[in-house]
Amino acid sequence: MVSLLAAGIEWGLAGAGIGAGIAAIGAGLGIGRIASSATESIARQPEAAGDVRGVTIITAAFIEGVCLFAVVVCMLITFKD
Amino acid sequence: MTLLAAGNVVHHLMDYPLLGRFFTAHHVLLLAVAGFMIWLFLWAAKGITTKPKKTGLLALLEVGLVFVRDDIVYPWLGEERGRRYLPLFWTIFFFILFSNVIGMTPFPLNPWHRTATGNLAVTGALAVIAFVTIQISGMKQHGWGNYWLHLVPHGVPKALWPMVWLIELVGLLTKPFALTVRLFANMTAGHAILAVLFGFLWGIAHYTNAAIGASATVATFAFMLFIMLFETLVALIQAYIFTVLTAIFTSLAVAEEH
Repeated sequence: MVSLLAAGIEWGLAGAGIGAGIAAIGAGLGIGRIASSATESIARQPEAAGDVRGVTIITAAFIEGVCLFAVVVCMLITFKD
Repeated sequence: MTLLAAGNVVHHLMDYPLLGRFFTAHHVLLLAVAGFMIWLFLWAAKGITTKPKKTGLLALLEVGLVFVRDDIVYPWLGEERGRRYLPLFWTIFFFILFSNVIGMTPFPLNPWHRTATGNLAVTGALAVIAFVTIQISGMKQHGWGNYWLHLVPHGVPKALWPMVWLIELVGLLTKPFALTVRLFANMTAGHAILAVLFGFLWGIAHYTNAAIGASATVATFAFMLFIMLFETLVALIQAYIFTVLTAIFTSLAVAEEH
């Protein structure tokens, strides 16, 4: 990391990359929690699998949206001129 | 394909002028999808009304149409209201789906290597359609001025009322923005990964060690196949999510306590 910066990669670009990584960690944790609860509830009540699947996709989309906001901010950093 | 493998990745995700100065690759793709949909659904409508037994492509289309009706629109909007909104949601769903899928098809079908939904202007326009639908249906349900006055839930203290109203207003505007960015980022990210993988092949082509080169080629193609399959799933899921979120927001806007 330090050597990369010493090699001349700009601080802002490095920050954008790190930010995208942190956003991915957060979204991964969130969607992972949803998926674990969803599999659990399907295992408890297999007849509700269809409903649970729909709700899972929708809530995962919301979390993904927050993550994508972060990625857009990172992209804006790289597009500065 | 050699076009994809060269140069900067971001460059290959951008729109470019195709015919003249203002007619770009995304315009061509959008018009192609629109024309294809008009042709397809005119054909399907004729087939559904004249043919007693539905087979092949017609049956497949019917599965998609019934899925949007029974799993997206009716559960959220109810049968009575849902029937009025159904053409809009069908159009949104199939337009996004076909745009996503045509963006993934290889050379003969899509020689421009672009996805129309991988453009902020396109997804933004779709989100504006969703936004207008949501607000107008809310205003028609609650009265044109009443809707805006009753953005704030009941029971909020008078002192906090202006602030909560402002937050609700920002919330209304955030929804279409999230729809825009979600669709755009999902389609762009998949194509960026594919472009990077093609870039790997470009690098391998200049490599001299045969053993490493061959294994790297196989690994790259295997990963590309995986990403292509994953992108097929994403293309379907994003069309579903855009449609279902529009339906949910519309149902929230027309609900008694919105």
